Amino acid sequence: MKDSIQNKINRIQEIALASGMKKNLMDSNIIEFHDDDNLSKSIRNAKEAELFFSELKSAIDLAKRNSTKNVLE
Amino acid sequence: MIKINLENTFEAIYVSSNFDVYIFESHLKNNKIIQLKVKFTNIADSLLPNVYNLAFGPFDEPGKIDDSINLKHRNSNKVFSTIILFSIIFLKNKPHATIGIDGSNDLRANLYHRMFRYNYKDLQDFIVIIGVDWYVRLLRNGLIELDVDGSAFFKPKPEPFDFKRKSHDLYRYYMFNLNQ
Repeated sequence: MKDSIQNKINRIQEIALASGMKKNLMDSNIIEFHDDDNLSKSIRNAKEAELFFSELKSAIDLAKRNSTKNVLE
Repeated sequence: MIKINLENTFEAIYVSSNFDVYIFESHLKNNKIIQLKVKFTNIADSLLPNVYNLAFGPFDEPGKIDDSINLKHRNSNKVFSTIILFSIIFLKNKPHATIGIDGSNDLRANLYHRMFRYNYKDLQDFIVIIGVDWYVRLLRNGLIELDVDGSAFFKPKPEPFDFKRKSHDLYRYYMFNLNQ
């Protein structure tokens, strides 16, 4: 990772620490509902969730292998 | 076309202590300055414990994000670069999490799709991107699997984002997590 990007990440982590005191003020009235999310709507039970996560893990592993391959090429 | 450059992002004016809420300011083309909130919310479903939905946009009076609004940013590249940077930081602090993006309409899904497709070479150092299609199962008797209400039962199937898929062939859902 480039130093400039790492510096940005470090800076944001500092802001998060400083924002800790303001958390309640900024977050207390923020509630996001996503029960109409396409993904959650279509997974009905634990078995389907397990199957989905198994396929997701395979897809992620394959995507990681593809990205390594692309870098080597 | 959105060009992601993680070295050119807006400064956060607020970051929650657990890195799931960020606020920054963007200039609009009409010269107004608007505060935008980026929020990662665990999908309200115990079956998907590590999937966090990405929402961003201006917030209304009760503090809820209006992610349906279409704003004309002076520098859209910088806005989306900022959102991607915040996503990376969120994932670094929750390495087992996956971020999900539910394109609320074709316009938004098209935007995400083109953004990922156009920037994948730069983004692949940081994140892996997954596209999710929905399929229905063909039963041996020639019928299709039905839901309890008699409608076709579609199941989500994730795959590595196919960067050759053009924007006329959008995924229904997009996911990404850290490439580590």
